[in-house]
Amino acid sequence: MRRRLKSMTLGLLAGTLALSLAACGTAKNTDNEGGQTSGGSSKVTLELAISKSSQDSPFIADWLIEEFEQETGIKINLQLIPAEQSTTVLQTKLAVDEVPDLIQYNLASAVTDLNLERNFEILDNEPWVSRIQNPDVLSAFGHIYGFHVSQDTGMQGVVYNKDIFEELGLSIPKNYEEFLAVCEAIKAAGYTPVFMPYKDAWAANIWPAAAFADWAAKNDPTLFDDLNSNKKQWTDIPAFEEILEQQYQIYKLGYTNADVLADSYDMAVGKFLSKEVAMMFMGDWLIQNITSQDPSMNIGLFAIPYAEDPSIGASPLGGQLFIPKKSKHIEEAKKYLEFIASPEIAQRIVDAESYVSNLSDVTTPEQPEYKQEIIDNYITPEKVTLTMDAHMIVDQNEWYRNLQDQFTGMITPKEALANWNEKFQELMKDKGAEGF
Amino acid sequence: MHKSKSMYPYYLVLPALLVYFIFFAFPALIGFYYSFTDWRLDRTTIQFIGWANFERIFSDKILLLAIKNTLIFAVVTVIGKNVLGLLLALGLNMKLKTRNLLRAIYFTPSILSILVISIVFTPILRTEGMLNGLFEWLGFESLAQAWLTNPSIVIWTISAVAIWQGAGFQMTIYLAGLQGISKEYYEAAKIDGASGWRSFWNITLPLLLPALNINLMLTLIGGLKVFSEVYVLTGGGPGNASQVVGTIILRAFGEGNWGLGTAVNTLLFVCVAIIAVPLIIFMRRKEVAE
Amino acid sequence: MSIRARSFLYHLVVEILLILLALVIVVPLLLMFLGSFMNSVEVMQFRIQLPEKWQFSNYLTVFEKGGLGRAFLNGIVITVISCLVNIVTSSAAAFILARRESKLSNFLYLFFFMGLIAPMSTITTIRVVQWFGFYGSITSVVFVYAALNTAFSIFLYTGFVKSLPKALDEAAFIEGANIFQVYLKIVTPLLLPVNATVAIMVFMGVWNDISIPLYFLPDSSKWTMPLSVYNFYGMYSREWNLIFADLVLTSLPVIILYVFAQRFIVSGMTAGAMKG
Repeated sequence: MRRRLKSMTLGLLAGTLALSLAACGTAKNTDNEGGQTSGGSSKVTLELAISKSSQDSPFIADWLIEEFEQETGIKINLQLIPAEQSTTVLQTKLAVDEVPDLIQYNLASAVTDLNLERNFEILDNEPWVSRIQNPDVLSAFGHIYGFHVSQDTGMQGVVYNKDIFEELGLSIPKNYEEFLAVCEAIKAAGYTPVFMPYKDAWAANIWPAAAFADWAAKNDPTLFDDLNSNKKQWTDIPAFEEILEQQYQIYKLGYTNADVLADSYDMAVGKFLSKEVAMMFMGDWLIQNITSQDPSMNIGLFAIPYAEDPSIGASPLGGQLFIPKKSKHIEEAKKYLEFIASPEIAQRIVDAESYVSNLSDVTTPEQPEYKQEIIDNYITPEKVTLTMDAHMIVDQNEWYRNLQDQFTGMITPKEALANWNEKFQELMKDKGAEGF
Repeated sequence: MHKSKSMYPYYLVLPALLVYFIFFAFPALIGFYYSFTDWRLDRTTIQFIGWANFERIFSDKILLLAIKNTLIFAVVTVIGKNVLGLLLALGLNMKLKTRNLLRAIYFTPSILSILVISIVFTPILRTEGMLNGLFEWLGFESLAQAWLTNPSIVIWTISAVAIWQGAGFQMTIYLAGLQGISKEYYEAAKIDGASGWRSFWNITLPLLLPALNINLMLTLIGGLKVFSEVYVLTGGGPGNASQVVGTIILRAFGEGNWGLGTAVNTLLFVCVAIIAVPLIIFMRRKEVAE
Repeated sequence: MSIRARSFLYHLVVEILLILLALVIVVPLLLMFLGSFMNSVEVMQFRIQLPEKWQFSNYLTVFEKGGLGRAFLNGIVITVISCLVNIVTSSAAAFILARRESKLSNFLYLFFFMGLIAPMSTITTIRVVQWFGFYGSITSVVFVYAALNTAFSIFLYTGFVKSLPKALDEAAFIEGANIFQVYLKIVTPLLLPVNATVAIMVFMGVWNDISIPLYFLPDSSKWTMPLSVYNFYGMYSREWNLIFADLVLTSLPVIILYVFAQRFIVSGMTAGAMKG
């Protein structure tokens, strides 16, 4: 009797285990659709991870992915990560070796956030490298890590509808008072002067990031270094408080959409297309997104008018593709980059996005008016400053949330800076930064 | 005697015990240890730091707000789901023509994923959304609020959505309990001249204790463990206004701050235990007494 | 007024109130349903109105672009297998714990019962799964769900088994049956109603859940239907008609299950409510 009981128990345990292993098996099958690499017959699927805020990136355009699949049989699956989690999700994935095959990210941030050197594949020997005109924007530590067909960095400022300005006889405001006057005129004419989609917290940082940086460049060039080495506190700078208050005032004076904290960034293009709004604090990629849907629109960019004669804000080249070292389909991922870099495809993208081409055999299309204006008004006279983002080595999500809190009216700019200062201390200490 | 011992061998418990221990109990136990360390994703060494994590929790405004929000949510949903559930059950226990249809309608939200419900409610709760539109149409403009973006009411809004989803579930349990009460009790009471209210208080309520017990436990523990509703409706926002313990753990996890996240989890465990265990024991006693 | 008339009036008023209140439930769901057939401009009005044209193509679009086929499969694999593991292990354990009265079995029962109260320690569970080397896999999620639902299942099963007379077992033992035969041939058939209830409740809970995949499946291609909707919502947040269609499709499986299994859900909850 005992022996039979024993064998029956083993039977039960084995049964349960078998069931679970079967699950394992099925799971593995759904996991590895075509685990063999470089086999033309088996279907490989590449995982491309990208932040939701970059969802208009040309590298994930439907047509591009479809044509790539048609030509190579390789599918691309998109992993859209909520913007405020993008850094942390990617960090986690890299840490637990559950890496995607391609990641779209910003080079400068990737160096610190994603530990570029340790985690990413060096691309120096790729076939398209010889055709790159400006390798610096793709490189770090002397090697090429990123891929892009453009060498154009993003400019940030006030995106504005030129037609509305012309209609109302307005000129570009050169300081804050002029800006408010412009808003008043626009409002009187029945448009919403500024669109603020601050449900997406990062969007609330365009005005501050550019203004802070410009102020620092003009009044305290070592400011960010001091902040990053704990020689100064975020609460030490009255100008920052004023800048934050300025942005809030625009909302308080009724110059924005009603539901600032409920409207999201993906509504922006639509708002411009329907001529509901005249301006928005954003990067120039937005202009591209608008005009690609309606080429008849005249959109331009001017610098954030927080004070007299501001420079335009620039971010380091963003939206590049990287390949993690631990990807299981490195060859296929490299194929995707090759595909995009091919003259025909690259030309299509460069033309559609009006990029300044980074490939020798891909011609830069005639720059749209707004680009030319930026070059004339800001780049040539050297009125460009790298925004705050370029100087931060920690995750700014809490800063963005503080800006949101400020907009609920619950905290003052001073308190927002104080909260951020505390969090900043914690984050820098956790990172092991010197001075904290 | 010897026979009855080996008749029910313990090893049949083993599979369940293994799965439960490895994937639930053991992590909870080692969680206690990790709460007292500086465990981080980007570090390879772990050091014991005593109460530091807990000090941080109690001195951090946002973490304290999360605790407060969690308690508000729990209390509001316990009351809302149970009161509403009981009232609905009482109503739908009566002989009504559309009784079965109504029961199905009220129960339906609780079988849908909270994600579905949260997404459906997002446009309804916007400032120019359906709810405020309804108030305007009825002439009650002053009732219109920024349901999801006003930091002082956002957690209440989320609680309301949770009640909307869950009341039907409590209702079904109360209905089952009500149906188990023999009609004779009521008839006897009526003969004795008892009013509706008295018979409710002295007959219905006591005999509903098992159902009340279960519902209280489910809603209370579920309320303290809230996560999905908040995550989908507001992500903890605007700013950090609607953070709850569950979303804070996610944030700590995402930041790589795993020691702190585990400490918050431990705190939640302690809170739930302190609140739920005495309640269960108390209710059990009352039940037995009846 | 006569007593009959008064009672009639009372019933009428209550019924009307309940019907009006039910509108609060129906309206949002109706909005979702009707909106799923509208075009992307119409749906933005967010009003209860019949679509101008019933755009069934929305559903096709969503199915293609939302990867629902894959999410559905993921959901089925995860849910069905974790349900099975849960039911088999829990009913066996509950059988023993309910029948065998000793300090150990009482302790074990309490140990399992704590699972109903204690919150899951998510981060350390992730760590344990990592130690096993299968973090990010569907297998890990199956085990996690099985473990999480153990307490609830054992709770329901022990209650039920206790209501089955021991005499049945004893009669079988006397006739020379061993424990497995008793369990499989006698107890399991009687457990069928409870099995059904447990299966359905665990099924619905696992199917609808989004928190576990969020932590344990960083790869969104392994996500189940509800979370894939969240992904979709992020990508197509301008097209509410598609979002609504996605929501309807995601809800269909559980609704169908509910319609067919209604009986078991209610009877199970009844049993729970009575036995406490």
